[in-house]
Amino acid sequence: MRAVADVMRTVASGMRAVGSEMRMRNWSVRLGAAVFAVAVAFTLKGQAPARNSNPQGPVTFERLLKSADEPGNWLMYSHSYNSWRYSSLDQINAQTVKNLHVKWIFQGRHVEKFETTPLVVNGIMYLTRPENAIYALDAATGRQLWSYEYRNPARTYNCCGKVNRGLAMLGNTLFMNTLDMHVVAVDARSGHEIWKTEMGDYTAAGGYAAPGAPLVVGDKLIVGMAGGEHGVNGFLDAYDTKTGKRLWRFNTIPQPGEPNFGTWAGDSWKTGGVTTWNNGSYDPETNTLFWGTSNPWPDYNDDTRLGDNLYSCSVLALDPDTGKLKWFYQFTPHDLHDWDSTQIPILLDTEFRGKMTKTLAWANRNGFYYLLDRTTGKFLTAKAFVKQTWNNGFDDNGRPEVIPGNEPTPEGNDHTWPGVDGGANWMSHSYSPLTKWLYVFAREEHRIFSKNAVPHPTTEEPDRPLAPGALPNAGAYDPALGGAKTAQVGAPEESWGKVIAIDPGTGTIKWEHRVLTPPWGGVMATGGNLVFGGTLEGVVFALNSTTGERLWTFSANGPVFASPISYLANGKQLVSIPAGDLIVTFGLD
Amino acid sequence: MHKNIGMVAAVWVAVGVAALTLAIPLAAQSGGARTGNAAAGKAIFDGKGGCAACHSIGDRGASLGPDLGDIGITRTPKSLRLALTDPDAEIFKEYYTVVVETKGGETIRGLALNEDDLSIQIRDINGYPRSFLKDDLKSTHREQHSLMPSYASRLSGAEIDDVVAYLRTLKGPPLPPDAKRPRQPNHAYSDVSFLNRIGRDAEERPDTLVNGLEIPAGATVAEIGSGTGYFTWRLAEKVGPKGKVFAVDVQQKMLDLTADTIKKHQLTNVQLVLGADNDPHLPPASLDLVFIAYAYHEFSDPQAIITAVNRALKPDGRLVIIEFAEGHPFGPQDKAERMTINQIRAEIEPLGFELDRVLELLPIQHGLIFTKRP
Repeated sequence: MRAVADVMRTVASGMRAVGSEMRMRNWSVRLGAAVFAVAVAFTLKGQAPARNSNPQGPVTFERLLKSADEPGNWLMYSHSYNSWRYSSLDQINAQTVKNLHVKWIFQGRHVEKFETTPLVVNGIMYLTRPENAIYALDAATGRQLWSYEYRNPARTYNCCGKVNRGLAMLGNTLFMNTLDMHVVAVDARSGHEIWKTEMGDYTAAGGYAAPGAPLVVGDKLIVGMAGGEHGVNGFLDAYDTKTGKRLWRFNTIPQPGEPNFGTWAGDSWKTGGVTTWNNGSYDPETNTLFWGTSNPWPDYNDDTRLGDNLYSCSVLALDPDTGKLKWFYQFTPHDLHDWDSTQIPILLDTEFRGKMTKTLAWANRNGFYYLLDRTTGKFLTAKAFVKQTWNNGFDDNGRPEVIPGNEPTPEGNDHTWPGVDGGANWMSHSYSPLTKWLYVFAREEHRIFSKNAVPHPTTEEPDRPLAPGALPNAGAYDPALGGAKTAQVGAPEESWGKVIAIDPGTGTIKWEHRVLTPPWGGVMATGGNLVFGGTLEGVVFALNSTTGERLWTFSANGPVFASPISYLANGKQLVSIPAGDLIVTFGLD
Repeated sequence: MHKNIGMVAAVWVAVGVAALTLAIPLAAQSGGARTGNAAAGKAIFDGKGGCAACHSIGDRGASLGPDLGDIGITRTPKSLRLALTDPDAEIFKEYYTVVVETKGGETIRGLALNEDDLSIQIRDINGYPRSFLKDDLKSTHREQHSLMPSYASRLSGAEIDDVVAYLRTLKGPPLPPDAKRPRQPNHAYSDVSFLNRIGRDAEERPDTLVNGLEIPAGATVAEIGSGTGYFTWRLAEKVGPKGKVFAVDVQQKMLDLTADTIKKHQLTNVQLVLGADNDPHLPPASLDLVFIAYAYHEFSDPQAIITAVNRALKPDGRLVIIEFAEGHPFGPQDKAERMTINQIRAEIEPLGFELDRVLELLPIQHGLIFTKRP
């Protein structure tokens, strides 16, 4: 493998030498060189003696089903279909982590921040760079093999930055969602586009976008969408991985004639939002797809949308073959605080009241940790994991008893916890089968909730002024800012972050590691008894997963807006995490 | 770039010094009718007060305290006096004192520059940036008081008046010559649904704004462009039964809506006035305050209106102009519906006004208070 890496380095540096003039030539010449480079690399790789357990060849559905058995690779967004984001690799562990250091850096060279989770397959890292570019890198060195750039129109309509969260892979094909509502399939060997499908009109209503990572289930590609701030009508799609043909669409707002239609006053269902902008999970045992949905629109003004507003702020359990709904559970009926339920569903079997139970564990943006029976959707228990002021408990069906007085007001309500960005958000949680605990990088904060005017959702008119406290681009990354704003420095008592270990069966918090500011990065637990993550100031850390003790840090000084991964390159365990517009990769030697 | 800033700063200080030849009368409505001598105040600022050891003016000078280059328009005389005598009374979080105590027993006080979970960066009381690893510290905490000493016992009352008078001359850099704005001639806003929008209070903070104007009961006020009466009734409540509000609009439709609002609030001290494009039809030398919110940018003959306003104001009367801030990320997209501070100043000041204060309490607007030039 060392020889392979050397050859790849040589090829890559050769490419670098002609890089500037290549940019002047046409696209096909450039891709041709890249294809050659990859072909050489693959050929040599096949002949090299295996120094790790990485299976070779295309990524089949069978491999995806057993992805946890391939700790050297990172085959899907959350590593495995149960979405544990757990790496069993243990070279980096509580004893060795003190020797962890930077092995390589990938420079995004883009004004937008990274929110991507890279895939790593057979020694090659595939990652998305804003807006919709794909890069293939040698995972051992970070040297580029090829790149593919999807060109969006100048104006697209994602709420929170021109970001992308990553890829899915099947066979030798990579799949990416785009900001202008397309899905593209790209050859993982060449970077050539194979097919491109339009999900829908990205300029409809107030604008649609698709910033999330897709999920492969069988021969289907499951794709979500965004636009919840823009009065869209949400859905979840399945496409044929071979052709890009759409196979089914599940409407996240029941349409006339569909079950549960009528939980929206008047015509409000037509513009109710309810998007599917993050990734989902899959349970092969019951052939069930789990996917979370966003809040209803208008976010803070319910004058026109009385009712429960199904299926907003819910988890959907779907048959991936047909898109038929098996069950749903609504975490926040009739939400008024933008508390999306688009967190990644975590599937685990745990003891609940003395009995091993097949469950769905969910630390929600509304500040509560939930445990559901994933075979039926039955509510089992829930417990707040951050300060909250809105909920007085649950009935047997898991319906919250809402405390009045937390509604947004025209003057601005500043006493509701959690804040608009929630106790959790889109960044990944992690479950460790070693400790049997769930790890959540939680947010403690409150903000002002203002009841605003309801604009007509359109992409044609200029935007109306927004209320103070309503951030149109909450996730925006200002490269000039570097780390966090110094303005945060003055008020540590008003907002902070914390990594917590939750006992999934009870919701009990086992330990807490507090950090300076509410995070936008996720966590990953490992077989080395560690939890990795990064703060908004760019402090990358490893905690002892049993005690929460901080064992190692690195100052990346760029905000971490993504979740870490781990994999093997040449038999050595590496950890990669995006920080600002860099991907930083750490190793032991 | 850096050089240019330096040149601007130099000019600006020169302008400030030129203004010192006059004794500046302080606004009567906030802080009592006391008059300081600005030139004497500058001498104290640079000399026995030691102010320049911590504060810069126009990016020239020390950097521990805030720059004071435009403090004369961002603070009332009352607030300036309070800052001198009780620096903890109105302190911003970024000026809280940070105290770090090292494991070696050293205690350092300063202002926070940056912080993460591993380290903290402060500017110490000598103005030097310093960085500490949290592992090396015994403790870090913030105290809700200012590093600035109180001058209550260090300066006499007259000397404090002098310093306040000097600070009031600091009104920012001179206006750039290109402060023109896009115009929508003869555009009188008529979208009532937008004026009645639900989120308007949060966007405009009308109560905070009207309270911030410190209008005394019994005052005579005119509002030009009263629209739906959104501000009119608040102004009328503020001046009370002994005061009076003239609600001026060029659209009879808007005056009717103002009348409805006034009736709803059971107020009787409002007189409706149908204005003309070039004349607000206000009585001369009779007004304590003229209030114009989101209407100035629509005037087809702003020069005529503001000249008439000057005539209608008493000698110590004030003119308030509110517009959405150009350059702010929120607010209307149409540049003709937004203005910069300099655009407003460049049009108002030549008509016999000078900028008295910029309101800092508005979320996405500029609020400027002008007084008549003596």
